[in-house]
Order: sequence, then structure tokens, then C-alpha cells
Amino acid sequence: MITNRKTALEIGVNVLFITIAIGMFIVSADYKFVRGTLLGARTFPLLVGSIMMVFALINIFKTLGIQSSEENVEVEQALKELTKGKFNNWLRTYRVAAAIGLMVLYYLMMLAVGFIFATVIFLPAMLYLNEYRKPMKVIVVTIVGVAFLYISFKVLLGVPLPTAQLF
Amino acid sequence: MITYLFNGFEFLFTTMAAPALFGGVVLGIILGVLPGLTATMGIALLIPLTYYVSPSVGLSMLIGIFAGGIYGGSVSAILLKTPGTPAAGATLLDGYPMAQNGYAGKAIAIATIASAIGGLIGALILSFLAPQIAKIAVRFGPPEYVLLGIYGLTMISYVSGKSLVKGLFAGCIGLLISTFGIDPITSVPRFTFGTLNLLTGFELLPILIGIFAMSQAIEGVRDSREVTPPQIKLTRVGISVKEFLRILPHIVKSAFIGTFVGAVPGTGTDIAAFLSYGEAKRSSKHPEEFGNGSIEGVAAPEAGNNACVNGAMIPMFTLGIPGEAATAVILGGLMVLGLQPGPLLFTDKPEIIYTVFASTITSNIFMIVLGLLGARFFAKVLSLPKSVIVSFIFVFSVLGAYSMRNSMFDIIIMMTAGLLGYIFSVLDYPVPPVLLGVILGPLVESNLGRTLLVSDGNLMIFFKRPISIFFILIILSTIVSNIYKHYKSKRVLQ
Amino acid sequence: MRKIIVLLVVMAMVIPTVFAQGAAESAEKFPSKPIKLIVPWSAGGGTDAIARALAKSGEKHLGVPVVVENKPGGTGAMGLGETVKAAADGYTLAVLPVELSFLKDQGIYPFDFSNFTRIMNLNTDPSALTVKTDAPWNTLAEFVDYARANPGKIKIGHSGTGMLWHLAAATLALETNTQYTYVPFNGAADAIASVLGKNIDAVTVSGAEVSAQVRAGEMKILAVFGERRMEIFPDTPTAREQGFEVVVNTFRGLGGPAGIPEDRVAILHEGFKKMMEEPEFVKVIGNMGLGIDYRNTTDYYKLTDDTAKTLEPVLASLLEIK
Repeated sequence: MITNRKTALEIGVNVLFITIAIGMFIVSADYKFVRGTLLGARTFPLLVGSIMMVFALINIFKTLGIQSSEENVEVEQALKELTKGKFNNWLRTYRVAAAIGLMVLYYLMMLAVGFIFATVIFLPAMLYLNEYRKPMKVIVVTIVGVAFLYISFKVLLGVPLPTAQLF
Repeated sequence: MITYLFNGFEFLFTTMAAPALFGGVVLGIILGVLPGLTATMGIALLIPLTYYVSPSVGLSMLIGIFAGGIYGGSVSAILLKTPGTPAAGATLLDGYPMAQNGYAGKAIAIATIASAIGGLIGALILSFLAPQIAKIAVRFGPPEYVLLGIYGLTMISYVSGKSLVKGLFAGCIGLLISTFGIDPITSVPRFTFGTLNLLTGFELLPILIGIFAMSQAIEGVRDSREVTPPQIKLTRVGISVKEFLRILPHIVKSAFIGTFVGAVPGTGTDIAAFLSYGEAKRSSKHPEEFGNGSIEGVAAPEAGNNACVNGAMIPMFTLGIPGEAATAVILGGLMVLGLQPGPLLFTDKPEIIYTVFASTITSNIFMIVLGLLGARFFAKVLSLPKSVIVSFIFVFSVLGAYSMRNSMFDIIIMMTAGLLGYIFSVLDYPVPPVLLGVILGPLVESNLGRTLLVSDGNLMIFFKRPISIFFILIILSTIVSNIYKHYKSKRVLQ
Repeated sequence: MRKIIVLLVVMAMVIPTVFAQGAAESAEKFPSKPIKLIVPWSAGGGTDAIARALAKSGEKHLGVPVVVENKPGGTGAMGLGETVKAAADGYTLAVLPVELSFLKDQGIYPFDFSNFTRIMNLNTDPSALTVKTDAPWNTLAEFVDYARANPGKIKIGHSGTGMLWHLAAATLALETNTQYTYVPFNGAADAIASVLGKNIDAVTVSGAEVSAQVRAGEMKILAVFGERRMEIFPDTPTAREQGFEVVVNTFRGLGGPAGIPEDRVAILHEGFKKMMEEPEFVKVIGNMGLGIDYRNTTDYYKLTDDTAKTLEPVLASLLEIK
């Protein structure tokens, strides 16, 4: 099961990049060459893209080829032991998705209310996701952390922090 | 010349120049440690301040920031896998595993010692051989840059881990990423889709932070439920004589590589670091340790990038041509101060040049003192709960990506790169080749175009120039020895 | 506790009135708050130095501080894009680069000078045709003769295709009906290094950028593409003096988004003119080897329009080659 999903992901990634390379070929089709030469905005992406596609295809065939080999069963077993059961494994995937979702929310909050406020909301949520849940500690960590960032970046070094841009 | 240098030291220690240099190193380390704040930025921010002091004092401060900033980047790379500057991209490959094995303090100490010795060698070369090196450096034309870039790309084989095909695939992705933005030869805005954000392509640092720091943090969240083995706490910071003797040859070699990479205009500390790393792995007696916390793998890139700092000043002072981004900013600062760098500065104002040389030498001594004192303190960061560290890495990643050019767009790029980096690590695809591709792509592409323009489209130009033939031989020998090693290791397995 | 509440209530009443007063004042008096000066390049470059040297005396001559903000990226497009989008109240200004004259035609910038209120010109620097000292040519005529006999053989380096120094070389080619191979570099310094290493034959970058090499005797300027000789090289003749009508200057000016009211433009012009006359500004710019060239609003409009017009045929000739 795990290996199957991993195989699917691996093939997916390789297919994705092949698609991107083909997309780049199409977009670059109307970039002109310097007259009389092979020099142009297309040359390098075309060259690198083609080479990449070769490697991607090798990757895909290799993945398909070893799908049911014994070696992989061992890996699956090892991974099962490490994650201790199906539930934990599901939880791991869920956490990754949650972390990515939280980052996207963080970005949107920065656009809406600026860095400082967004971080004040983001940090406790991320700490919660990280199993760090004692309320007092979370508050202290958040306040100290945000204060540290604000003072070191904005006050001492005068480096701008992301500001709200929607309003 | 020695007398001049002595006068330089005398001036340095009898005026405010030495305290300014010290302050510069401290500030540089702070800037370097904080992700997204680079030495270049620090120098640019402080140049207005130098208007008010004498040129030598101002310059000493700038040199301190430059050296401290490049070194400081390694600290966050080692502790958090969050490179403070692009130059630390190679250091984290072994520095971070070392810290995870409980040797954080030691890794920082090694980085410090290697940075200082590498920087010192670079500074000595700068002081005594600058005009001679500069003469060789200008011989470096477009064909040589192409080959230097290709040689750099052969380093993919050293950072690919188990599967070379996967490494090459990752390297090609990096090269493709580097093709976004205005094309260097025809100025076509390539793959920009009408957005100004992509006009000059992707910034390096957001990608770097994404694929290393952010992907690492996602893994941290994923595993936060698992029982982690208790962190082995080793407080000892120093290294043994045996270890020192083991890294010393690599430091020296990397220092020469770094100085030269710095001396040729248009290449920077990041390239110096990777070339040094690859060379160390090639010549090491323990190549299998690389990637799992090899002390040579920490020492070599650090020696290389700090030597590069000094190397970059060679063409700046002798020719008036900056060898690297940060030196370009220093050059501007020098001109504001009324000093025109170039061949004449040596005859017109030798006292300033030699004060600068004295401060480059001294900055490395300051660095070793500060670094070794700070190592214990920096390593303390890791005694915070892992969940807190992971949460803060997310915030630092966002800040680091944003600060480069105050762009929200770069945050999106960083997050996308982070996701990609995470998927790569799940699938056991190597990430460092992506970085090599992004760094070296523009170097290879633009100079290949220039080579063909200069030679009227004749590729034979590569075989007509001594330096380029030398590079071709190195590249061939690297590839052949790699294939041989690969073949041999397969035979052993069977 | 009650005291605090009273205090809060009082504050809540007082603060808005203070702000309201401020708003009322700003309607009559300009400027009444800090002026933001956007530099569309990273800190540490020539444009940045000019902006910072100017801003230093902002408080003295305008009564409010001038705050320099670097917005690098997209060869200037990011910072300029932000300027275009800003409110046209005179509080957001930018250092406008010469690229606004010709990069829109090439599809790189989405805007040109017409999207900006132009206030005044600050600096101009001429392009200079520079070769290595031991090159066989000593005058522009010799150079052109050689090019005529060997079309495309001379390699001229510049700092980016479609950028001004490329157009300078192309202007020479168009004017003298000769052909060259143009080699783009990532900035002027790399191009100069390539001449020193004899990888290319000449550069057409600004005279200020080659001055260190020329003074040291490593390179020589064949002709300055300016309207008059450069102050730092009074003995080097211009192209015009040598009988070739090639004039290509870079210039940096001051402007803001389109639509700044005229009275405010006048106030800003007055203030910045005084800032340009500050001895410290003159000194810093002189140290950088840059030429100060004040032009008032009308002349600045003329300069930008003329430049766009003269470069049009040059661009067309380049597109043909492409």
C-alpha cells in the first residue's frame, strides 16, 4: 500500500516535470534565434529539457520495473515498523497536509494583516500541530519569538517585514 | 611591500580601524546567522555610515561585515538547515547531519577554524600576489567560464547519493529553473508570463531556503508524534589534533580554489563552496562519510567561501572590477569615498590598500575568537524543544525569502520549493543537484552564448586556449574516475 | 481602574482630532509628511548613491525627510511598477532610469516615460568607445575604417542586449554603416574585464565605468559619445568632433506616477534643485565619476522625448538583425 502510493507519487513527479518541460518547449517556440546561429532564448531550455526528459523516463521505467521486487517489501516492512501502524501513518500524511495548509493561510494572513499579527496567530497553530500544547508555554514562546523577530529585524537592523497589502 | 603591510597593521591598531573591523565582524556574523540577511545587504546598508569616517576605518568595517557575514551563514545552516546566505548551501550538507548527531558545537568550531584559516590564506594571497593573480584572472574568458560551469556541474555526481540518474534529473530541474527570466544573449523575457516578478528569473535564496529549510520543517511536523531518540548532548566544542590534521589539507586546497574562484569576475562564494566540497569528497580517504556528517565536508566549503571573499577583492583593487556581488557594493562605497579602485590605487594610496590588507588578515583572527566563543552559545539553540525549533524554521523561512528583495512573490516561490524539496526527500531524490543547477545554469548558458559570439560560432575555440584545455582535462578525468569508481563498487557488491 | 478608563476615553477623543488636524494641514501645505524616493535597483549602485546623497539634505530644503527605499528586481521594473501604481500626490517619487525610453518597445517594461510625471534631470553620462591601449586604432575614423574593411569582425561588449550601451554601439553602426558583433555581458564590469583579457575588442559602456582603466593606461577611449567632452578626460574628443553624429547618453531623472499636480511638481523641483547644489552632493557624485546635469522640468521632458525618438531607428535596425 505504502509502496504503491510512493510509486504513484514518483511517477507523478516525473510526469509533472516532463509536462513542464513540454510546456516550456511550447512557450519558447516563438522566441527567435540570433540570425544565422543556433543562439537564442530557446536553445538552452530545449537542450536541458530534452536531457531531463530522458532521465525522467529512465526514472519512470525503473520505478515500474522494481515495483514488486522483494527489496521493496522489506522497505515497506521497515517503514511500517517505524511509523507503528496504519493510524500513525495516516496521521503523518494528515500533518503534512495540515502544515502546508497552514503555510498558505499564513501567507494570506500576511497579505491581510501584516507579518507581526499573522505570526502571532500562526505560531501557536504550528506549535499545536507540533504537539507543543501547554497554553502558558505556547503564549510565552509566541510572545518572546515575535518580539525577538520584531526587535532584531525591524528595530535594530531596519529591515522591512512583510506588510499588509490588501487594505 | 612588507614595510607597507607593517605600516598597515600599525595604522589599523592605532586608530579606530581595529574596533570598526571588530564591530563589522560581529555585525556580519549576526546578519549572516539571520536567514535572508546577507553580507551584501549589510554592506549596502552601512555604506552611508562610512561617509562620516576616514576611508580606512569605513573600509575596515565593510571588510569585517563581508567576512563575518559569509561565515555567519554557516551557523544557521549547521543548526537549523536554514542557510543564512547562499554561500552556506554546501556547508549544510554535512554540517546539519553533524549537528543532528549531537556534534553541533564541534561542527560550528570546525566551520570557524576552516573559515578563518581559509580566509587567512586568501588574505595572504591577496596581500602578496594580487597583481599576478589578477593577470591570470583576466585571461579567463567566456570559454573558460563555460568549462568552469561544466566542471561545477560534474559535482552533481558527488552530491547525488545512491542514484546518479536521479541526481542528474534533479540537476536538470535546477538548470531549467535557472532559465526563467530575461535571456542573457537576446534579452527575450523568457517564461515570465507577463509578470514583473519573473523578469529577472527566480531568486536563489528563496529556492535554497525552500528546498532545504522548509522541506526539513515539514518533515519535522510529520514526525512530531514519533518518539525521537534522546538528543545526544556533547558540550565539547574543540577538535582533536588528529581531526585537525585530517581537515587541514582540505582547508588549504579549498582556500586556493576559493581564492581563484573569487578572483575571476562573475563567480561567487556559492560556486567556490560547492567546488571545494566536491574536491574534498573526491580526494578524501573517507568519501562514504560525506552527507552523513563528515568533518571534511564542513571544513572544505567554509574554507572555500571565506577564501573567496578575499579572492574577490583581488580584481577589485587591482583592476577596479568586482569579483563578486558584495565586492561590487564595496567598490561603489570606495568610489563614494573618493577612492577609485584600480591599478592606480596601488601607487597613489598604498597606505589605504595595505591597511585594507591588514584588516582582511586581522578579520580572520577576530572571526576565530568570536566563533569559538560563540560556538557553545549558538549550539544551545538546539536544546530548545524540537517542536519549537520546527515552528520557528517556518517563520524564518518566510522572512528569509521575503527579505532578499522585499517581495511577497518570493515567499510563494519558497513554499513551492519547500513542497518540491519535501516530495524529493520522501522519494529519496537528491536535492543538492537542483541547487547546483540553479547556481551554475546562468554561468554556463550566458558564457556559452558569448563564446559562440566571440568565436564566430566555432567550437574549436575550446581547444585553442591553454586554460580551457586544462579544464577539459580536469572534467574528463573527473568523469572517467567517477565511472571507474561506480564500476568498481558494483563489482564489489557482486 | 476608573482612571485608566477615563484616560482611554480621553485618548479616544483626542487622537482622531490630532489626525484630523494633520489631514487638514496637508490639504494646504505640501509637503507635510516624509517623501518616499524609490530606487529601482539594489542598494550600493550608482543610482542608489545619487539618491542617498540627494536625500541627505531633504529635510533642509523641503522641510520633510526624504526616505530612500530600494526596490530591486526585474532590471528596474519592480520599483518602477510600484511607483506607477502609487498615489499621484507627490509623496512617492522614484529615480527614473534611461531604460524607460526604449525597454517598452522590446516588451520588457510594461510602461515608459509617458506613465510618469517627470520632474527634473539629475545626471547624464556619455557612452565612450574604449579599447585596449595596444589596440591598432587611435581615432574613431581608424576604428570605423577597419570595421568597414572587416564587417562583423570587431567584437563590441556591452552590458546587456537591448540596454543602452548596446544601443550606443548600434548607433555607431547605423551612423557609419558598419557591422560589429555585439557580445552582451552581465554588467559593464564584466565587459571591461573581457577587453582587458583580449576576449573582445571594445566596449561602449559609460566613460565613468572605464575611467580607472584609462587613467592607469590599460585602456584608451577612442571617442566620447556625448554632446561635449567629459570633465575627467578633457583631452578625449567626442565623436561629433571627429565627424560622426553619434550621441548616446544615459541619464537619471526624478519623477513620480503620472498626474502629480503642477504646483506640487514646482515645489518638488525647487527643493530638489537646491539639494543638487549642496556641496556634499556635488562631492559624492564627483567621486563616483558621474556627471551632474541639472535640467528643469521642460528640458527634462524634451530630453526623454528626444532620446526615445533618436533611438527608434536604432532599435529597428537591431530588430532586423535579430
